[in-house]
Amino acid sequence: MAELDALQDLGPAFRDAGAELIAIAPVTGEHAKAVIAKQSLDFDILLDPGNVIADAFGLRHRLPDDLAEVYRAFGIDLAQANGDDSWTLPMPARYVVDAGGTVRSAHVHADYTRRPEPADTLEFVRAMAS
Amino acid sequence: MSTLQATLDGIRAAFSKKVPEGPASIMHRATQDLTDRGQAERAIAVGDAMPAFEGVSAGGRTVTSAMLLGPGPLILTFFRGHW
Repeated sequence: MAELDALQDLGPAFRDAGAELIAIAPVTGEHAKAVIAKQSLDFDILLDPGNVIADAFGLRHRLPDDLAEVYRAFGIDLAQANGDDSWTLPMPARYVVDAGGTVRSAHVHADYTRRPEPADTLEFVRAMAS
Repeated sequence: MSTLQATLDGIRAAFSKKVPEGPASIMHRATQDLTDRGQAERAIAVGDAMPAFEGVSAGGRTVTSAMLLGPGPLILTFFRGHW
């Protein structure tokens, strides 16, 4: 996962800036542990089966049937991979939240191939501290 | 040093070469429909209170949103999974 790698690379810098990082995904515990091990992640992954947390943020969406069929044809069974048959996914998003619980930065993308630069998130977090 | 977006663009270009046109257009249409519905604009945004949540982490610990907040900023990243 390119994004997790990129965030991991900046991990020490995020920590120096006083920030905590956590990922949230509708994956099974086994899969999350495998990702953490394979990519040597220092941050945790919070499991969100069925995308309940994503839904609270307005990010959950249901895959259309024809797309679900495309993934199945590729050998990807979302219900099996994510351990739930809701066939929902979160729109990828990156948030920065202050100590009072107010959202200070939000990047939400319907197009999952577009992600904000971790370096920009770092700059934002550093600016919050000053 | 390459940017994350440049890396993702490279992955997408390589993927496009391998995927036949039928499935590719289904994938593009799904993304376009999601964009057109404007759901991203209605998601939690700057100035909103972060919704409360809790769950279990990969390491098996119970995590609540209250535990995660402060003293410094909290960076949350939602991702879809490995595929």
